Parts: sequence; C-alpha cells; structure tokens
Amino acid sequence: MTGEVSSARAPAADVPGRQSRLAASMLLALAGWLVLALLLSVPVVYHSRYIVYLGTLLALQAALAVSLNIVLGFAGQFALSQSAFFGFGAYASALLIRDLDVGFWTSLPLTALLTSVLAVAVGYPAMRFTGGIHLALITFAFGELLRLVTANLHELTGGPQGMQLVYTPGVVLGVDFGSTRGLYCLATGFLLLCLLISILVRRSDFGRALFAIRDDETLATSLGIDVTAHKVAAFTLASTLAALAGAIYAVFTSFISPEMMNASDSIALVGMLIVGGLGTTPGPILGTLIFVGLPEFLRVAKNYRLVLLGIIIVVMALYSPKGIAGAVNRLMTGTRRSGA
Amino acid sequence: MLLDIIQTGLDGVMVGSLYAMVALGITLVFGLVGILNFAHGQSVMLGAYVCFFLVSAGHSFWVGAIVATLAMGVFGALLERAVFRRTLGDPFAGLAVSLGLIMIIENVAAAALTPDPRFMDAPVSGNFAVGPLLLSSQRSLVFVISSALILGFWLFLQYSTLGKAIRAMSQSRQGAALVGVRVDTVSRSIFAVGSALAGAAGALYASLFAVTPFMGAAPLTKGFILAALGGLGSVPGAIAAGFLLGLAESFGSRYLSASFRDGYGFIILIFALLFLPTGLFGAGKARV
Amino acid sequence: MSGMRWKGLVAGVLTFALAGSAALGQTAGVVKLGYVGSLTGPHSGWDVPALEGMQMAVTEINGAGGFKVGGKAYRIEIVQEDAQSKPDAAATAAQKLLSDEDIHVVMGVLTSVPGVPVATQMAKAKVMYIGGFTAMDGIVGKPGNELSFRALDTDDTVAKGFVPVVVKELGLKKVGILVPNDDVSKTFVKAYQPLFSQAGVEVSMVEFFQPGTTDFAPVLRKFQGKGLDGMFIGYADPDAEAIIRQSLEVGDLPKKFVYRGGSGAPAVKYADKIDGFVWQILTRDLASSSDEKVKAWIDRYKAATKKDIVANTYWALTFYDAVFMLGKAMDAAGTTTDQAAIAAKLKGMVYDGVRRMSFDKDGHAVTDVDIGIIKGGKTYSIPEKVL
Repeated sequence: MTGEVSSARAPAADVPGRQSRLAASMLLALAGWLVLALLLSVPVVYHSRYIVYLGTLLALQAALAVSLNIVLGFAGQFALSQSAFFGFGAYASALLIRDLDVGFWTSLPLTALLTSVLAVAVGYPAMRFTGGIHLALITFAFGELLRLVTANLHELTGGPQGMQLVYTPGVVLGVDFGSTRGLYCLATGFLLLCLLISILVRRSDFGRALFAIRDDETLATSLGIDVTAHKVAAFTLASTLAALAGAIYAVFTSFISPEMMNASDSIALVGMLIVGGLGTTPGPILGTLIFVGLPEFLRVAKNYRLVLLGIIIVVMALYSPKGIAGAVNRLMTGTRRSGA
Repeated sequence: MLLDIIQTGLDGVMVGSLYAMVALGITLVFGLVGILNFAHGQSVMLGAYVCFFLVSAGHSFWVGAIVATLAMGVFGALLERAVFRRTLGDPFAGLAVSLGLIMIIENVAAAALTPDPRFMDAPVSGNFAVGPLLLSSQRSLVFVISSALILGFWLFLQYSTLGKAIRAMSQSRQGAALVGVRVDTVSRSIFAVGSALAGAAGALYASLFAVTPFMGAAPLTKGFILAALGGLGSVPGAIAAGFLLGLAESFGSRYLSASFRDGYGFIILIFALLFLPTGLFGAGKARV
Repeated sequence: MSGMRWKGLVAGVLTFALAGSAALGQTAGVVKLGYVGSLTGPHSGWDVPALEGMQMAVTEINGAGGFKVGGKAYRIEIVQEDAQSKPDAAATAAQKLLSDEDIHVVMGVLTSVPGVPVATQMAKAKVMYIGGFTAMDGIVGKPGNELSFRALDTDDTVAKGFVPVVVKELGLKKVGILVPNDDVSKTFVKAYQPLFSQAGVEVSMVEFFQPGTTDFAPVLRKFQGKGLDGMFIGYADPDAEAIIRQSLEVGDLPKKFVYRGGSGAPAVKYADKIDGFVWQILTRDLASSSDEKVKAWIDRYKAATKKDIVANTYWALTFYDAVFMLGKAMDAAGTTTDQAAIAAKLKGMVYDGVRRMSFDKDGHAVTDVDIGIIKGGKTYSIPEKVL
C-alpha cells in the first residue's frame, strides 16, 4: 500500500521525458485559463444578479488563494494568517474612509502600506526564528489574536457584531463601481492582477529563489540567497494582496465583522491550495472552484454538501497528493506513456 | 485576596488538566508520526456525545466515560488504518485529510444529532469547603480523573513494552525497526491512545460544559498551542503547558478582562515560539 | 433548487385539489415570499421554527383559496434560502433571493451574526424585510432602512414592563450583570440598568465575557462576596444554562436569575436548586397557555410539523402571525408589489391574530409578551400588557 502511494508521489516526469511533460503542462495551463475565462465570462453572459454576486465572491476568494500560493506554494512557508490580513485590510480601509475621510480609491494604497508594515513586523521575527510547523502556529496565533483584538475594540470596530459600511467606490471613467456589475469588474480585475503578479514572480529571479528555498533551504543559503529576506518579502506580498482583497470585499458586501479573520478560513484556504495543486498557477483557481463553487452547485444534498466536500477533499488528498493540477499532469504523462 | 488567588489558581489547574489531556494526543502523534492531526478535536466531540447519550439512557457517568474512551480508541485506530497511514511523512496531505475529516465528522454530527447544545447530568454536583476554600465537586473530580489518566499514561510510556517501543520510535524510526519494534503497530497504537485520551477528555468536558457538534474546535486550538508551547513531541512539555495555559486563562479572566479569555494563550504562545523555540523544556526534537 | 421547486409544485397541486375548483372562479395570482434563515448550523434552532410558522400560515392561506387583494385571490409561494448560521453564507443567501425579481418581501433570521448582513443586503436592494434579530433595533428606522421591520419587541419596549415584575417576583435588592461582550449586550444593558435603579435595585457590577466562553468559573469569582441577591444574565440559552450550572458549582453566588432571553429551558434542570428564574416570552406562553386561540394554534402546529412544543416554537407563532398580517397590509395597500405602499400600511396597523401585534412608525414591533417564571419548583407565566 505504502509503496503504491510513494511511487505515485515520485516525480512522474522522469519517466516519460521532457516532451510529454511540456505538453502536459501546456494543456494544464490551457485548462486553467479556460476555467478562468469561463469564470470571468459567465456573469457577463448571464444577467442574474445572483450569478454576478457569486462570480464576485469567487473572484475575491480566488485572489486570496492565488496570493497565498506565493508564500505557501512558491516559498513553501506555512503561513496561516491569510484571512487575518484579509480582515485587517477590510477594517483598515473601512476605518480610513470613516474616520479620516479618505475616498475608497485612496484607501487602497494606504491599506496596502499599513498592511505591508504589519506584515514585515510579524513576518520578520516569525520567519527569522521559526519555520515549518512552528511558523504555522505562530501565524495562526497572530491571526486569532488580531481577531480577538478587533472584536474587543468596540468603539473603533463595532465589536463582534461587525460594522455596516455606507460608502461605495463611485463612478470612475464612466464605470459605476458601486453597481453589482461594477463591483464584479473590480473583483475580477483584482484577481487578474494577482494572477499577473503571481506569474511574474514565478518567472523572476525572486521567484526562482523562492522555489530554491522551498526545495532546500541550506542549499539556497549556500547559493548566496538571503533566505529570511526572501521569505519575509513573499509573506508581505501575499499578505498585502489579501488585505486589498479584504478592502474590496468590504465595499462589495457593505458589512464586515471579525469573523472575516477566522483562522479556520485561513486553514480552508490552505486546503484549497492543496486540493487545487500547491505551487502551480491554475491550482488556486481550481481549488477555489471546488471549495466555494461546488457547495453552491451541490444543491441536492443541502444538509450534506459540506460532508460531500469533505469526502472529496479526503479522496483528493489520498489519491492525488499534488492536487487536481498534479492529477491532470499525471494523467497526461501517463496516457502519453501508454500511447508511445 | 490571598484566598482568592489560591482559588483562581485551583480553577486554572482544574481546566489545565483537561487541556493537557487533549494536547498529549496531538503532541504524540506529531512527534512520532509527523502528522498535525486537525481532526483530533473531533475525538473530543464524539467522546462527549458517547458519554452524553449513555448517561441520558440511564447509565452511570463512569460507564459513559469508559465507553467513550474505548470507542474513541477504536475510532483513532480506524482513522489511522483508513486514512492517516497513507499520508505518512507528507504534512500537507495530512493537513488536507484532517481538514476533510473535520468537515465530514462535524457536519454529519450536526445533521444527525442537531446543533442544539446539550447538558449532561454530572455524577456529583454543588461544592464543598476545604477550610476557607470553596471547591466545585465536579471540577475536583475531573481534576482527579484527568491527573490520574495523565500519570497512568506517563507510567505506561515508561514501563510498558508498547510504551518503550513508542519512546524508541520517537528517537529513531529506523533504529526502532532494526531492534524489532513493529513500527506499523506502534503508529496505530499512538493514534488509538491519543484518540482514547481525547475521548476521555470529551467525557470530562461533557460533565462540565455543553455538548455540541462544534465543541471540538476550542480544545483542538488549545491542544495545538500546548503542543507547540511544550515542544512538539514532548510529553512532559505538553502536560506542563496545559497547566500553564489553564492558569493564564484563569488569572487573566479573573484579574484582567474576561472578554479576552482566549487571547492570553495566544500571547503566551507567540512569546514562547519566539524566545523558546524548542519548547518549555528545550526538548527540541521529539522527546517522549 | 430543483428539489424545492418540485416540493412547491406538489404543495401547489395539493392546494388545488383541497381547495377544489369552486374557489378558483378566477385565476389566482401568486405572491412569492422570500425566506432567509439558518436552516443548518448552530443558529438553526431559532430559524427553523420561523420557517415552520411561515409554512403553516401559507398552507392555511392557500388551503382557503388564497388571500384577497382588490378582489383578486393570491396564493403564496415561499422561496427559501439557507444562511447556514454564518454571515458570509447569509449574505449569499440574501443575494440569491434578491436575484428573483418577483420577490418583494423577505422574512427570517433571528440571530444577529447572520442577520446584519441580510438586513444590509435587503436595504441596499430596497426590498422589504421582516427580521427578528436584536441588532435590527439599530437598523430599523434609520435612513435607508424604511422597508425594514423587526417582528420582535425592542428591549426598551419589553424592559419597561419586565423589570418591575421581575423585581417584585424575585424580591431583588442588589444584582450583578453578566452578558457576552458584544453590541447586542452593550445596547440592552443600557436599557435595563436605569430601569433596575428606578425599581430600587442596585446594579453593583457589570461584566462582559468573551462570546463562546464555556468555562465561567473565573469570571463568576468576580461576583463572589459582593452581597448580591440576583444575577442578570444573557442572552443565549447555552450561555445561561452554563452560568446557572457553574454558579451552583462555584458556590457563594446568588441563586436568583433574571434572563434576558426567550426561554425557561436553561433553568429547568436546576429548578429545585435555585431560588428563582425569570425570562421573557417574546410572544405568548406556549408551554402552559390558558388562551384558547393559542391552544388551538398549538394543536395545528403539532399536526403540521409533527413536532412538540419547545422554547423556540415561539418564533413559529411570531412569523405565522406576521404572514397573515402581511396579507392584510397588501390588501389595505391594494398591491402585492409596491413595497413602499405595503410598508406604509404595515406601520401603525394593529393585527388581532393568535396574538395582538403591531408595528410602530419606524417598523419596530409592539406586541403583547408574557413573562415566564420558575420559582419554588413551579413554572408559570404572567402576561405583560405592552400593546
């Protein structure tokens, strides 16, 4: 039994050779982009408000997963604070707008700035002194602490019951970003931005250094890579993108609460990445579709749809540890091999 | 004032012993098998329900607690056999699997048992006086039981053959296999024992607090904090950390603010991870 | 979705068969009534009964051939969505209902965490919404929320009659307040504290605990040795039961409890160990009712749902009456779609259903409630005339 699993986990690419691996990854990329295109176009085709709403939600959730992938998938750092920063961004933007009278668009760069300061402050000691499972626990503890503090600062944040927001992004360049469709454009635009950043990082020296750190930290150090600085940079980038997603989420739902920072959501995000395919470009999108999209379509099993989702996750994790992206990859190279 | 401090300290030690029981299972499984089992809290929840239903059906608390412990032991062994064995050495797969398991178990429980909180009749009620101190009867009983279980477990590790095998395996998996330890059997036993302890803790939780399908989350979170605080894999560390957290929460809620109760543990954890990265006793790598 | 449609169809066909063709001299219109609430998760205990009450009312209305607006008969069809006890799922469920252009009125949600996002979405989309959760008191009547109604009395309304009765029944002199640390609590503490003082009771301490607390021993210690004779606690049943149980465990604490909550269930098991427990029945007492109308309703409820009466069945009665009241308001407004007109009629209308119910000019309910009491091992209720 164990032998079977470990052979499945061994890099399948060694056997079939470069060509089929290239074909597989191209097909995978194509499938990923197709899913994305579908995701983006559905609300334009369908005029139902709900579909547009769901599309916006999916886009923001996918943006969170794509950005987490940079620190978790690329750099291999187990950060469990993604939803804490998501919530932090929502509150930061909302409070800047309410108390300091800045506009929604001005609040975005300010939120990004505040978040990166916080992320460096948290990330530096965490990445410098801990790693692996300890990093997961320290970021988890930070996230829960942030949630509790937010829930306890009644005067500022409205406490556990959350805040109702009254602002909208307004009309920019003739597009009403306050409308359902405008918010949808904002969210999907942001998702595309995150994807673009993720792809650029992957292809840059910075990204290659991250992969080196993930694969072997000692080796990376001996190659002259400043390991801590790279990890903190990846963590800060992921956290800042999460905060911006939070700021957009806030204006989208007009309601925020400390529940946004719940650590279980961070853990679920990690689950999405694992199910979709850690470290791959389409992985986060596929994972989001399964986690967020699937329950919406599993309408039949109302009470049991989360159970069904759980079963899917367990089966995926057991039989396809590299996620869907890995499964497709393996399937392709496998077919190639038998065809040759 | 002094009396109050002693009393608050006792409250802390009493819940701390419960926390330690849950943390033991987490730290053992991680230290020996390398899996962070997020589904561990579900053993607490299921154990609590087993005990609750037996007591409601007219059995004594003792029957309920013993059955809950045994049932969760079997449950742990089954989970290991069906699921966790296949994720050995792959922490990400282990994490994904336990996430899936939480969803399955929690939602099946909520659908089958309703989410309504239930309160079980405790075997003893009220309180008793020791000199000037007023002690809760049930809490004292819980403290005695959990301390006995923790002590028993420690003796088991020190003196039983299986316990020695577990300790051998925690030092070197291959070495243990070489000297004839059946690594497979030991792994399964660790899951079973950890889950049984969680089941016993569940029965004790049920004698004090409400039973709900979602009750596993809090002991789980605390268990992780403690396992890390004590040094992952360290049994004495987890026990000491359990009492420390109980005291911190108790004193924090009593003398600072009760609305920040869970925050005290997280603060301790963050400082401990930064300044004592190898745990309370500097255990570092798995040491049982 | 398809399962629901199918059920709706079956219900429709059955109604058809039951009502017979006589009642259908003219083709009946259909009014789609939205329901959003936590059908799953920890808050489902409150919200499922609300849906049952609505379904009961709809079955009765449709069975009688529908309700009349301007001489035309209308049947009601409920479209339901699950809020899953979570704020984000609640917002999604609300959006789903809002995407159906034929839904002009939405009801449901009795808990604040999923409730606030629902009310927010409804107000944003200018759709009429009748909810029940406490945080609605801060929403109803505010600009932009003209179409929002809360079907339960506000704390201010209830407290005026409640506090004097409680003080007299339990003979209180000095109480402590122990409630969760959230907005709901902070709001109602402001309403109750001065009323206790007016009634000659000293409120000597107020403590807020972290929502979700299960171990109350440390915070209960703060109340020891203060010479208190009563505790004012809130506002969810599991919290209340845990506080009572652990007060008895910890000892040296008052044994009289005033519960700002809607059920006697938390104290039932400890009835012979405590000196008194008083709670608010925000509709009519269903457990020991002497009112004929209420008794008949209880029989119909049991027949319709095959369930027994429990504490949360109250909400079924509230929403049952609310559906009938909505029908009356639509008739008075002469429209089933003009929400502003319907809302205007609903405000200020007094409806004599199973209980008496009305809404003030802002949309806050003003209705009769009962006060439940457990004392000396006996359980009884006192009607509190509000309306």
